[in-house]
Amino acid sequence: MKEKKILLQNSAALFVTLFFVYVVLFEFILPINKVLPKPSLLYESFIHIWSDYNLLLAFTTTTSVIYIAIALSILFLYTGAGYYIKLLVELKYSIQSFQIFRFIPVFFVAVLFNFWLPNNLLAELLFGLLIATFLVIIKLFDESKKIKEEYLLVAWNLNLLQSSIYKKVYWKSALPALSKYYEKVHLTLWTLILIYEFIDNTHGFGFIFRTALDYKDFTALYTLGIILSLLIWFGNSVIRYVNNKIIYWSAE
Amino acid sequence: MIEVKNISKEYSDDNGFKKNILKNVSLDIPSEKITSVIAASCSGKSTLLKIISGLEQTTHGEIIKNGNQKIIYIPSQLFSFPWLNVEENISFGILKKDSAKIQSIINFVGLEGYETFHANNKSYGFRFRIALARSLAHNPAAILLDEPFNQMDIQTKKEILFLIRETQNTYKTSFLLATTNITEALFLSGKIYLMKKDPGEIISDHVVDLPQKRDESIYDSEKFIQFRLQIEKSFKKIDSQKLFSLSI
Repeated sequence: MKEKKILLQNSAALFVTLFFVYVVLFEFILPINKVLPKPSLLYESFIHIWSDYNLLLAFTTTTSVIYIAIALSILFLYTGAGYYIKLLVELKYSIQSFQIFRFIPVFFVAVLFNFWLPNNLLAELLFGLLIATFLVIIKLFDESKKIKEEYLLVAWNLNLLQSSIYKKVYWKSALPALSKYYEKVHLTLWTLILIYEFIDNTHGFGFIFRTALDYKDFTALYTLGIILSLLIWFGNSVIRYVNNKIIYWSAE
Repeated sequence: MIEVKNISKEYSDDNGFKKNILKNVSLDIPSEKITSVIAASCSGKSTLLKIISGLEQTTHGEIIKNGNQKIIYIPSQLFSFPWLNVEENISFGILKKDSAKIQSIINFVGLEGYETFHANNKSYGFRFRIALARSLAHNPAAILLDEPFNQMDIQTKKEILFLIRETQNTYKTSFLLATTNITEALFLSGKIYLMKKDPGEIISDHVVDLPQKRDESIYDSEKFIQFRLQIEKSFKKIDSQKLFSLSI
């Protein structure tokens, strides 16, 4: 608890210092430069993005895709957990051979899906759902290999059915790591959906990025970066909060 | 009575190298009694208990028991399922839960008032009580204890030793204790088997003719000391190197 407080204080101090340096350097000393925009321009840029680039629509589109994809992947996982673990455990050698695909850059995956799927929101949601589900299934596979032998010994010894063991032991044992992993899934989804929208060039934050880049609207890009950072931070905090409330144990 | 007859267990590693862990091990687990196997570390005690409880297969030999007799194994790494509270841990694996029975077991092992606690980071004594209660909830014919006192402090160990004896008296359950400690085995058991390592083989058995009612004063009794010396002597006949992890 004390460490957390110190970390929070240090982060806040770093943020304030950087912000102060940024204001002094780019508002007064170097107002015209190619590195960072003048702080006073940021607010104007926000108004400009809101009205001209339709920020609200982009916000609704992108966040809906990301969070609905995450919610659906959780639902998918919860409803069939026992069955997926059974498959993962029983086919572990076959699944392990899929490891070769981990070297494929995620950027390429986004490009490929954009090429395959039609340019609409439903396709983007499908892409997000596939990515989120794929990532957590791989994590579930990793975690099912790490299960403590003692858990299994006790479950076998008490004559639990193997299907019950998958559901009551493997799944529960994997949950803490899996729920924590959703923070990573969240971040990966943001990156991939932004790339997808950037290529798609029809809607969402990715589309605004592309347009701002086309117009060489440097301040808009910068403002958008700040908005996205805040959104990702907020989303991450919500996921962490919910995790801490629901998954109160660790696998030891 | 559960009979273990000529159990042998052979393991082979990835290079095909075969190693005999257990060789012709025979022993009896009499009903309503506590029996112990004393052996040094890594001599195949855990393997033997896993085989008796049906968790591992033998290479040769057989376990003779009544078809419906349940044998519960308590691993040396004591734990409770961290996502379940004490009561849920104890009733784990029971299809038709009898709440009154579970509560009486909880009271018996001294966990009354802790029913809704999560025992994740609790002491080893606490975890042992949960493991014992979970076993009792399944009406076992025998409970196999795999070095249960390893990580317990002296006071907890004392409490648990008495709890095991009390359990045997109250629930009329058989126990088989695997340990490296002669004193623990002598305090608890009616019969002791000594096992050597490489491969694990029973070298002698001793009926412990001590009073049924035992308390701490028994440690100083002449008979107890004699038994201890007798067991130590039996072990000294084996290669001294194989005794390194045996404790008094």
